[in-house]
Amino acid sequence: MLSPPLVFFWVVEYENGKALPQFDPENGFENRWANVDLKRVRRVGWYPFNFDLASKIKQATGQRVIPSDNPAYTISLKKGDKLILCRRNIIKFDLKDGIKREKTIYVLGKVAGKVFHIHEDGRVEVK
Amino acid sequence: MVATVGVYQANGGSDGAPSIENEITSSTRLQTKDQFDPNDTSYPIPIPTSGYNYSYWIHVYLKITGGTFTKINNVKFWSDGSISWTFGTDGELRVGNRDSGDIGCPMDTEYDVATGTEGETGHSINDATNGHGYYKDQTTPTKSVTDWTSSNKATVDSTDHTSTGKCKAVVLQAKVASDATQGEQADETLYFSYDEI
Repeated sequence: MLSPPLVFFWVVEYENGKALPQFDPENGFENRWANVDLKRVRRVGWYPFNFDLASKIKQATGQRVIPSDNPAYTISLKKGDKLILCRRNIIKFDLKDGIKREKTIYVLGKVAGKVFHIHEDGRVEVK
Repeated sequence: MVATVGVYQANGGSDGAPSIENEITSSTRLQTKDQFDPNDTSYPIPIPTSGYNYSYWIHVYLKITGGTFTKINNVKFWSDGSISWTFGTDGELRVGNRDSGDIGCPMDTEYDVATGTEGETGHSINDATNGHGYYKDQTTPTKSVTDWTSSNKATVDSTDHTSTGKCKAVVLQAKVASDATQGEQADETLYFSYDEI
């Protein structure tokens, strides 16, 4: 069972001013989180898709993502900060009615700091 | 982009090596036989004249079967805090518990075949002789699933999974007392969550 379509994608900004987005805005191909050099990241965030990028991703990967007017959410990192960034997937398990996917929560924050739970509709909870 | 993750149930085989695996898509059933057959109503849990009867325990786990991802971890489990089933006094829907660390049962290494007397009762998870090997010797070998809620989630598996495979399993079992009320029970909802990047 696949997770629901993505509503946000990550972008990291390095100390040297360069950025690495999860999806290349030129061609829609995906960069893997494993390729991020975390020691050099100074800012990171979850960004909404626009229609152009969503279309390129569909062409490049065949995957559907959902464009929206949601704002972007970013945090700055200082040396020694430990980043928390993930998609939290929730599965509802009805013993008689089976498996259903709940909406994904996009998590962003720092260990021992504030952690933002960003919902697909753009709502944010601070934990 | 995203991982493909399903909810699976293991049965049969031998300790450490289940022989049957089914993806739970429509339903599952706690019954007095080691099988995955949600439509088979011929193995209910009889109400005992005294003491307790148990369902055979079941291993339920998330399995990563494909997709594109870097890491999956932080598997959690909880209930809505209420089970309406008429278990009788001290009856419950229970989950295997560990005194420390993840409550999940490592698959397949700690898988323990469910045993008992078919059509009558399974062995209790905490039975000193025939209980589940990964849980029975813990100080608190089981908890009610209602002890785990959205504000107090059980950590099932804190391992980083970087490739396809099984996450640790929750081991579920129904416990039925002599003053339980007979009948098909209502649907109940449990939850899993996992983090993905």
